[in-house]
Amino acid sequence: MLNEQLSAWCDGESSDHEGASSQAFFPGSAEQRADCELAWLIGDALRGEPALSEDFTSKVMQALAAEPVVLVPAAMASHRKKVLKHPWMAMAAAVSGVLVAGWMVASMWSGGAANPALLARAPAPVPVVAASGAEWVASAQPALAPAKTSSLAPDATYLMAHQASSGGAPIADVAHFIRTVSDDDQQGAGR
Amino acid sequence: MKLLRCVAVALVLSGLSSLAVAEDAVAWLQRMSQAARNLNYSGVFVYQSGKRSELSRITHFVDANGEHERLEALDGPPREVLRNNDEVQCFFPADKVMVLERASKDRFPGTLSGKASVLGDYYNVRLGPVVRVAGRDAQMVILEPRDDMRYGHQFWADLTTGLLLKARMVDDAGQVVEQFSFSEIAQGIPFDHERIKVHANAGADWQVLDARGNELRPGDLAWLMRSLPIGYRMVSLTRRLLRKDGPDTLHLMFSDGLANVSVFIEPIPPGAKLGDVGSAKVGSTSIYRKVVNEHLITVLGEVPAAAIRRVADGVETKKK
Repeated sequence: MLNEQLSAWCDGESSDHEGASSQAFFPGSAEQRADCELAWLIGDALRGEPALSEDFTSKVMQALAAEPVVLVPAAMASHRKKVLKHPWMAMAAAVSGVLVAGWMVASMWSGGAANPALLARAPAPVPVVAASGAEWVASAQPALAPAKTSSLAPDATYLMAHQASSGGAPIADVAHFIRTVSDDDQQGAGR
Repeated sequence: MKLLRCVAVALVLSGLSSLAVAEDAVAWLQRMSQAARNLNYSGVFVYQSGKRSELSRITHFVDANGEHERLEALDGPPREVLRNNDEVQCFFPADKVMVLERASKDRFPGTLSGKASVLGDYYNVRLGPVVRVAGRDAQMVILEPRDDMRYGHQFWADLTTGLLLKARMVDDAGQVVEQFSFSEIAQGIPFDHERIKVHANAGADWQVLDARGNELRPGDLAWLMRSLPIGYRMVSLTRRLLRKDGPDTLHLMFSDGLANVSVFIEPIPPGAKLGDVGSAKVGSTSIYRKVVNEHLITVLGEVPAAAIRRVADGVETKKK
């Protein structure tokens, strides 16, 4: 009940009265309030509302870094349950990663960081074997690296395939790839 | 009676005039496409999407062996994309990764199969003013969508050569979704192999990923797309391996001639449970994910989120 109230409060779905009582429940819980503020920021970002503060990225990355890295699907059950309380949260984290730290294709295939929130809802990590015979697992890194977000791997795979097959606009073919290989890292730093 | 005739004649003339303007605009689109394929050029362009902007250099040459292109990111870590006809190689030196892709053979205006005017069914196509872009006089061409299932487009083509100098995609509120714009460009330059040579020093320690797919016949498809927005038709169907040792993924590409929507269908591996992950936006690309009959459906494209959602809602398995 408590969690539901907090969830509704974070989502802005509770009535004023309920919201007030939720706040009353957490008069000293700065951490949970910070979580909700973060949730609102992510929600704003998802809706395209220009509310990204300069420390938005670091907040998201800190939140992600604080999450345990779960690599075994069976062990994800409890974590998944928690994450799915706010299904948009995982997506928002992914999007924020794209906006701020996502050199997506390179991140995807470099075996960089893993986002447990997305792992919880993605197929089990699959080893990728290069033509050279070398093998790496995109999610098998022990810690999160804020500069890279290989949790975006699936999207990057799809984006690249999409750009390769796009023949619509009367523009040089490789120019379409700029959407996929665009480097947001530099831009994020300046935000 | 005389007045009625005058009005009728005026209406007919007005209609013919509009048609002529639209035909002129479509002719400009075809000219742009041909120039992009047939001209030698090299230039620096700015890509902007939302608050992001990035500088890249593009070089395009044509010789007896066909087209050769090189895209080089000038901001951030070095990245290169090379195209020789339909073979594409993407280099990511910082991560020592090379990706092989296959470019679409069905390029604009080829997608229109010689009926470029079909664009007029989904866009109000007209000419804009002549303005200066990258130091060149450029003809503006405007495509306003006739529904909310696609974005609007604005193109600026070199008045002399027809080469596209600037392209802008706008939403229904007139806000810029993304923009390509040359800041400097040299056209008609002599072929120079050095300028399309890969700079990345790819060695044995690089990972090579072959992401090229195999084409399938539409008849092989066991899926139905029940709610495609008007004007979109399938332009390619491939089976891809998005991850080595992963499941085969079907990739369906739909296009109205300008806007493109991809649908990816992949079986969910045993033991992996997925929730409905909903929608997201990555730059100018809208994404929607859902699960249908133990398959993960990913729909994405540079179109409004409503169009992506409509396509996704109509994905069903064929009844046996």
